[in-house]
Amino acid sequence: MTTATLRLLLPEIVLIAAAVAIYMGGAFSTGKRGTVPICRDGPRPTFGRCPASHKWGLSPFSRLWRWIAGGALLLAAIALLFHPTVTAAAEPLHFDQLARLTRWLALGFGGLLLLLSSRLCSKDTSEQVGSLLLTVAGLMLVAVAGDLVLLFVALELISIPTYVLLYLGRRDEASQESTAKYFFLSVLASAILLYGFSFLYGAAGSTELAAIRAALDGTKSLPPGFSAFAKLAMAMIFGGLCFKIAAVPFHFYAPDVYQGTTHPNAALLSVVPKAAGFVAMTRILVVAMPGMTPHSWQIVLAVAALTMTFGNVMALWQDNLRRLLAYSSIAQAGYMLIALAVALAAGGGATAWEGVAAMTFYLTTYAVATIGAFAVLEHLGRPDRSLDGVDELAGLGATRPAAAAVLAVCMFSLAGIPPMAGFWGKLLVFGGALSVVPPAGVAEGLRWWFVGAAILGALNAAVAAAYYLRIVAVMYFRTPLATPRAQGGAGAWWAAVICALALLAIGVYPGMLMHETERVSGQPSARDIDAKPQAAANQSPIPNPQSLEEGPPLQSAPGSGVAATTTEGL
Amino acid sequence: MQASRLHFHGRRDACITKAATMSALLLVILFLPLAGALLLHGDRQWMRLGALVVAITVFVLTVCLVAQYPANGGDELIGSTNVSWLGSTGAAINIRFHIALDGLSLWLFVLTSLLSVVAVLVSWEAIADRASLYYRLLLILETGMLGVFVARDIILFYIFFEFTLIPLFFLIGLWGGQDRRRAAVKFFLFTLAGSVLTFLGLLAIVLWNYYAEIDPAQRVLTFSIPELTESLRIRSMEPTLQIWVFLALFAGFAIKTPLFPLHTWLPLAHVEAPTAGSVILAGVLLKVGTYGFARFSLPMLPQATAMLMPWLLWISLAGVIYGALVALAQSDIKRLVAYSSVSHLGFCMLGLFAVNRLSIQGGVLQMVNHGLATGGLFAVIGMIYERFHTREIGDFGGLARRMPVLASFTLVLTLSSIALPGLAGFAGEFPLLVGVFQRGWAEPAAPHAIQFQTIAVLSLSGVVLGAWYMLWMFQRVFFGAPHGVVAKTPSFSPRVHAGGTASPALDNGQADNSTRDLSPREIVCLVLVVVPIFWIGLQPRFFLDRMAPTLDDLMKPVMRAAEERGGRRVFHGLPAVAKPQAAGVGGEPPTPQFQSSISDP
Repeated sequence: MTTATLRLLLPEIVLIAAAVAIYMGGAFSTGKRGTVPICRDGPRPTFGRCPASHKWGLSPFSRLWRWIAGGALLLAAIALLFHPTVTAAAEPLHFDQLARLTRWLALGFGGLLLLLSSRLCSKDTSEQVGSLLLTVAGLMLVAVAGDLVLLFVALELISIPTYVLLYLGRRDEASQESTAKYFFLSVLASAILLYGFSFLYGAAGSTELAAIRAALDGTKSLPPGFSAFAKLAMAMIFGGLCFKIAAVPFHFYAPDVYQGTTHPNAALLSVVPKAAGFVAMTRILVVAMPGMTPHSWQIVLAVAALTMTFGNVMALWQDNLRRLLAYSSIAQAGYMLIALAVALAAGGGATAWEGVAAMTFYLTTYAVATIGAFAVLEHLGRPDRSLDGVDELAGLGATRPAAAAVLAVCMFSLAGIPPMAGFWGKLLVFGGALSVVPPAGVAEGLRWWFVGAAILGALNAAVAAAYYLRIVAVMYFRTPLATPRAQGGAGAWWAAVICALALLAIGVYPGMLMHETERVSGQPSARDIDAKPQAAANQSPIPNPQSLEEGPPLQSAPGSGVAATTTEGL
Repeated sequence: MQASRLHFHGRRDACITKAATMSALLLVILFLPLAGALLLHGDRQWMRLGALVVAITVFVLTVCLVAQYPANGGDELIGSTNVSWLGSTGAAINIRFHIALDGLSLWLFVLTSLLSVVAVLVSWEAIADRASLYYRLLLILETGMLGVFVARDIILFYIFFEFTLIPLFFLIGLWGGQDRRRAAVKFFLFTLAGSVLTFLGLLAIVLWNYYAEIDPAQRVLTFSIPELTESLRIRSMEPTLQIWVFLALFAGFAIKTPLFPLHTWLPLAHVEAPTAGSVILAGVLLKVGTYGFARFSLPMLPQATAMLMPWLLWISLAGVIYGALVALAQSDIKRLVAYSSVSHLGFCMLGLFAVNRLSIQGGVLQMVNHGLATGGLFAVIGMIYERFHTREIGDFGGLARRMPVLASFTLVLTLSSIALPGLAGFAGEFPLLVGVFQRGWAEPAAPHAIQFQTIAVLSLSGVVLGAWYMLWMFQRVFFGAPHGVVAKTPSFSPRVHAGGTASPALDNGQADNSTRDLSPREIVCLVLVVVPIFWIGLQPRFFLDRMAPTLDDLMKPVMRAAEERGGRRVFHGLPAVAKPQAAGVGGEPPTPQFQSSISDP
């Protein structure tokens, strides 16, 4: 570790330092730890919220911790803004466009989540805020990790604070159960992932992604049996990461855990681990193991088909809002997996990054819409009871028109109806799937699998519209039962409004975000805005078959992020 | 005013200035309703006034713009704006904001702005609660519908196409009838389910066109509809692929139109929608489906259209006859008119799918006619319902005596709907049917000639049935001695007043109001519809001259494909093949340069 490395990781360091400071401060600030009541007067808030009349709760410090956390996010953003352009540092870190974009998104999501949880007040504020900062830092580290060990540590940096957050969220039996469930399954998934990493290390002889890529690209002959190891590693790693993104065989925890926790925690769970999972999948499957693509795209596509279908169909029957949104987030992961499969089918060339670009764009619009939806629900809640049932939204269009409008925007965006941002995500994903061109040596049939996936995805979008629309219909067409108290705090409301405006802005003018995500296929360095993107790679988002004729994937795209990280790492 | 000045200025002096003015005018027309929706504030009185002013302004501007369209001037685009939308920030997908009017969209565009005025007028008294939201949604919907017809970028088209769903969903669900919630959700989901597949079809066209260029350096990803049409004319898609893409497009457009087995959302949505919603839905939104066929399916996928023609014609014919028979059995006037839409749009599609110069022109004109007549009829039904609070045919009788003005207007609309010569319906339906017959007895005979002949003959039964159910309805509601609700509610005329002051019904102020004949507002509203009906009926040339060049140009490939498909089998004496599709695939495509995307590496 040199000072240069420290400077490169300054945003993460700021966040972690702030988190540690908040943790430490929290230990000394509350006085009598472990004693009740949490709030001064009124009933004990079982949901960990403070009534509006209580201002910021018992601890005068809880406000301070939030300000510190907000300041830390701001500082990290400034550090990221003045991030040094990366020269060929011999560090196992990637500072390509994917990393840069993910770090910015992580900071943005972190800010929104901090706003979203602003009414949570208890003696545990310091732990909550600190854990949130750690998960954000974890996501940023996943984005830059170029080494299996660092990647695993970064993923754990997301998981472990999440356990704490889930436990702190609510103090009832459902919460305990869901926390335990998440904890055990998450640990199991981490173990599977780590087991996969060990096979990968065994097959490739290195933990650095660039070295793994070089070892497994198919040009060198591996000792007998080693390629089987690589396949096994790929399956295990994918399985372990499927837990993070809640993809189908590993999704069972999501509905229970979401239902058992609070809205802010559900928002965190549906965004941060999912983003980390997809970025990690990109790093390992697309960057490190392009040689495995003849097999990996099949697995990913199968999981994608199952995930979106299962998630959408199950969501149709849900009456609990968090459970419904849990199934929705499962289904949305399926669409993103299609984009990942598109990236894998391209065989590791520069065109692979077009799929990654679509995935990143989709992930962004999904995350904003989901955070917005949870923020509205949080805002509408009461101190002693959160807003849980779909029926409780009845007549919201009449009683709270602004909140209803914001939630409707989020729902239409998730459903992919045009003037909202979600539409462009679907455009990129389906367009990518329809334009897959099989690389040399792969059967022509590959193309039809992707056409089939696009058709299945489109039909799924229609099914999904049914339950998103149900929420809108309940809000606007049913007679109100009671006016929701809307005591979830101004922070949640601002988060919701910001999300809705962002969805509309991206919907009307998606070019900027699209350009940023497309650049993951372009230049590797962090602040390389002036550099003209590669003409061939950026002419269109469609995989360009030209590069397929240029030989092995590794050499195919000299300017692409893949090749650049390779030279960097070596 | 601005537009009339444009008329004098832009003659000869500066063509460029004129073009720029027209572009600006089209932009203003497109976004004025949206701006009105966002900016207008106030209570019911002000909102409806504001909405009316916006709608009328848009209509006047539209007329001014359309007046500039040259007759027989060839396939011309006016009011074109073509700016980079996504590309301007460096995004590689060059989706552009490209709008323009051509002969195909011209009259549908005018129809939209006209019916928007009607929609505001019919809502004048009917909408009481949450009026400000209502008029906002109506104006947003207008922008969406206008956008569908002017979009020249395939994604922009789809965005407007889908966007119309949201305001109409709320209009039906919030201000509809008894079963409005179910109607709104069913309408939305049905339409969306089809249009997502349409979306894939549109994307497939774009991507195919991209890969069809063999030289990678020359490849350009274009979303422009004119460019795609042109490009697909030069090298047409492989026939099997065409069929798949056609089916994908068909899913969305056929549901929207709606064609026979996919129409089930329509009666529910029409009946439950508020009057303005029904007017817009029947008048404009159903045309979005037929317009989609005329804009994309036929010009871009000519071989598939030719191959599937018998099937398509049978489906359309099924809609014609089924819609008419079901309409015959209805006891609710609104439901009857809703089913008549299924029948009439079946006619439109019959015309388009018969792929014949006359039938296509008739079909496109018939879209406009149906919008006018059926939109007007829904407005009439709304006026009747406001007075009597029932729509059951059995509740009425002798309405003509009480409300002669309404009866006369309804008669014109009904007669136009059943294609009486001199009214718009005839001007569309006659060439349409002539075209269908020409398809049946075309020289050289098509392989399916006997089918086409059967279809042509059977389609006449649709005309007969149409006359039957419409006139029967008219007779039961308007003629005879007043009975039912008409007899129960006292007339507004002073004579009856004098005699019946003791009637208990008079205590009810509404009952007193109920038999008042049309108010000036309502008369204006129906005059707006009836004048073009007469105009089209008496001078169809004026309308056809402006759309024929575009249609001729657009439909050239599909007409050639239909002829080749008919001719080759006879001339070359190919053995009869069991599967007509398979034979078509085997046949040589009309342009030798076709490039399969699948074999592309």
